[in-house]
Amino acid sequence: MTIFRTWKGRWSDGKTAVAHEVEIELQHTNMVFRRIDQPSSVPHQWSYEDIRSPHPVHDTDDQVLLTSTTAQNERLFVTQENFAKRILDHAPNITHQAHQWSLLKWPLGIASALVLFWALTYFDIISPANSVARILPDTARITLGQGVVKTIRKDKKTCSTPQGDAALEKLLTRLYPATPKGMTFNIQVVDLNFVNAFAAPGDQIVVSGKLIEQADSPDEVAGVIAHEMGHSIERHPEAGIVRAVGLITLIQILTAGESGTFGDLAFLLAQSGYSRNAEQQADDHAAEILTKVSIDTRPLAGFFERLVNKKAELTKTKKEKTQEDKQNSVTKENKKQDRSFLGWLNTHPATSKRIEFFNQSERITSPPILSASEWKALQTICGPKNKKDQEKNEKSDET
Amino acid sequence: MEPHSSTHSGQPLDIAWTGKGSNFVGLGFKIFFLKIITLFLYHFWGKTEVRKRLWNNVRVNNEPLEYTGTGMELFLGFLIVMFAVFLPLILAIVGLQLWLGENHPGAIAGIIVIYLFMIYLVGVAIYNANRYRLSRTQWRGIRGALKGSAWRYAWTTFWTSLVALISFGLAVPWQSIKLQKIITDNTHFGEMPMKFTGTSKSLYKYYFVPWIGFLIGLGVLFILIKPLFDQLIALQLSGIPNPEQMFFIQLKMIGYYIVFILFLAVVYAWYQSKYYNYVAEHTQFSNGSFALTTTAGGLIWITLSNFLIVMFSLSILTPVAIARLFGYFVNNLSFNGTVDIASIEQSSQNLSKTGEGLAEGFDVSSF
Repeated sequence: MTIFRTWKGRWSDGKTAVAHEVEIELQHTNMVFRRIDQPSSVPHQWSYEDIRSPHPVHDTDDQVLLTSTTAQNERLFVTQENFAKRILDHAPNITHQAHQWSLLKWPLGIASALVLFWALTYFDIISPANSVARILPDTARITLGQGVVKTIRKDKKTCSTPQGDAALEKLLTRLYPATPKGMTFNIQVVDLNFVNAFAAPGDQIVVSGKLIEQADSPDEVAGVIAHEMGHSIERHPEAGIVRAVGLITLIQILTAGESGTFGDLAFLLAQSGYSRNAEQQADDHAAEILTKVSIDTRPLAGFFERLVNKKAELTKTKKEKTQEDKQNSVTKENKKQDRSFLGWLNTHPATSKRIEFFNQSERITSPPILSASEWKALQTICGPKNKKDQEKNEKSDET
Repeated sequence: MEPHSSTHSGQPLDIAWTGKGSNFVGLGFKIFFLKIITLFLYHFWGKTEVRKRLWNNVRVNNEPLEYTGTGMELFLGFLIVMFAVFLPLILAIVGLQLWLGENHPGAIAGIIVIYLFMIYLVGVAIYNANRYRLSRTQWRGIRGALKGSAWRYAWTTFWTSLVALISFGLAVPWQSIKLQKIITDNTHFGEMPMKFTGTSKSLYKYYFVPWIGFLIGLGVLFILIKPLFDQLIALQLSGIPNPEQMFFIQLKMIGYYIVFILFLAVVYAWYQSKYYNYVAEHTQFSNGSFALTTTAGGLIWITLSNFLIVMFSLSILTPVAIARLFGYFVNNLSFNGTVDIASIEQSSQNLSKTGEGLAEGFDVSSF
């Protein structure tokens, strides 16, 4: 029989705060201890596997506090030298490494999962925002959309004239047979002073009066609307809001609620266009819709092309400006106007690939969407066109 | 089982601090590094690590206190509060603004109600954080416990704060004592309760010093600054501003202002030390009561030096500052009388699975 060295310690049973002197033996598989005041009592046995310590035990420690998973409120406190060294030889779960790993495994695991999640959404492998957008009830989507439209519009009026409305209605009636079954859209022309169109949640679409005014033909307007319908069909606006709410919540949590709320939401919405992927989806829908109802897609390509040219022109004049010092006020105003064109471009990157996409379809000869007078009525739906503007535009187009 | 020997009942309690601020330097850097590689998540585990070390350095009759909380509990508590409390409140605010418009009176009223509710929640947070920490504090395997209702405490906090505000701060000692009494009387070690015997009456003789000191200080500041201000205006109106002279006048004004702030800090620290000592002295446990010997100078020194440590280390050494403050209090704490240790039975309080979420959210947990 092996004779084990004994150690003295203080043990409390976890039922009262009394501590008892105990004598400890480190046997092969168990730590065994017995109360000194009750030498004939059954000894306590803690298996080394079960032994835990609130702190990592180092072999130079002269104080060791131990417990066991099988006796959770019991404590053994040993203040004898070398005990730490001996117990470390047996108990695997009280070492520095064991403690460090138990501290690190969760935060490290969760952080890795978050990074993975971010990567998956970034590369469009999963899109939780889209999934949530699909299950939003219609009433919520419409209420949300009205809020968004309100923010976009601010104090600008909705344009409406009897003839203009009729023309717009005619244009939509032409598109509707090609949209998914039963889907209707609420389309408003708003007197915004930049060229743009938005899809808002709840199948609501806002087109700026400026965009219609600057379009060369009803086909271009139809193309833009079809594109926005594509966004609506895919529920991109809803997904955008869900994403924005998620981001804002995160920001709010990190800043403990000190940043604004709705302001941020509108800001994020305005800033973040859709991803390339989402734009491609909307373009696919647009092409499908237009082709189905025999509208040529090339005018939409032309619209994009004009935007790109404007942009190039603008950057060119910028360069020229740095070379030639002074510019007259007329060109300055011209440029200001040109810039308004870029709104659509910023949120809808007009790549050459995109222009090519809309140009590749076969030329369709079809009945015109609107008559000349209807087109004029639609173009002036926000009031008569500014003659000077028009002249200026023509002038700049010539140069 | 044989009866506990009589030597166990009626023991004195010896409270000691065995730590040093410098022991926490390495821990500060370690936590900082781990926070970076875990996207800040290690915050919760680091907090737990610091507490474990703090508690372990408190020795009661030569045996260590033990902190048994985990980082996961803090993290889950944080998540629950974020998703079950803050997120719905934020969505309610956004929803109100969307539904009624950003500047609609109804939306503004609704948002004010939500914010008041959040202020109310601060009280809940403080109480529950205390409850969590006590339930994770053990000595010889016996847990601490805070019984009672966090909502009741929050309600008392809420309405007494209004009284304190309306009374120009005169009701502050009354409020502090009222709140302290709720906490102390609900605090248990095992099943043995603590009892608070203090009243605000005896605190007022101390409180009038900072309160009147503030008024007198403000008056003196006004008397000193008013002529300087008039001089400044006169110089400006004279049409021939002398930048150098104006600079010196402004410098003098700032100087007076700083002296005023320092004066306030000293009188408030003096009151605060009296307050802490008073609370400890009137906290009864078993056959004795605590005693605390903090001083104004001690509190000012600790606060000021901690501020510099945290600032110059870019908050990496926050654990050092926490340990110094914690150690200062434990070092000055003692127990007069005896404790019937054999009759301290294990706490019957159920343990919550999560901790301190609200307190994390409002940042009101100090240790």
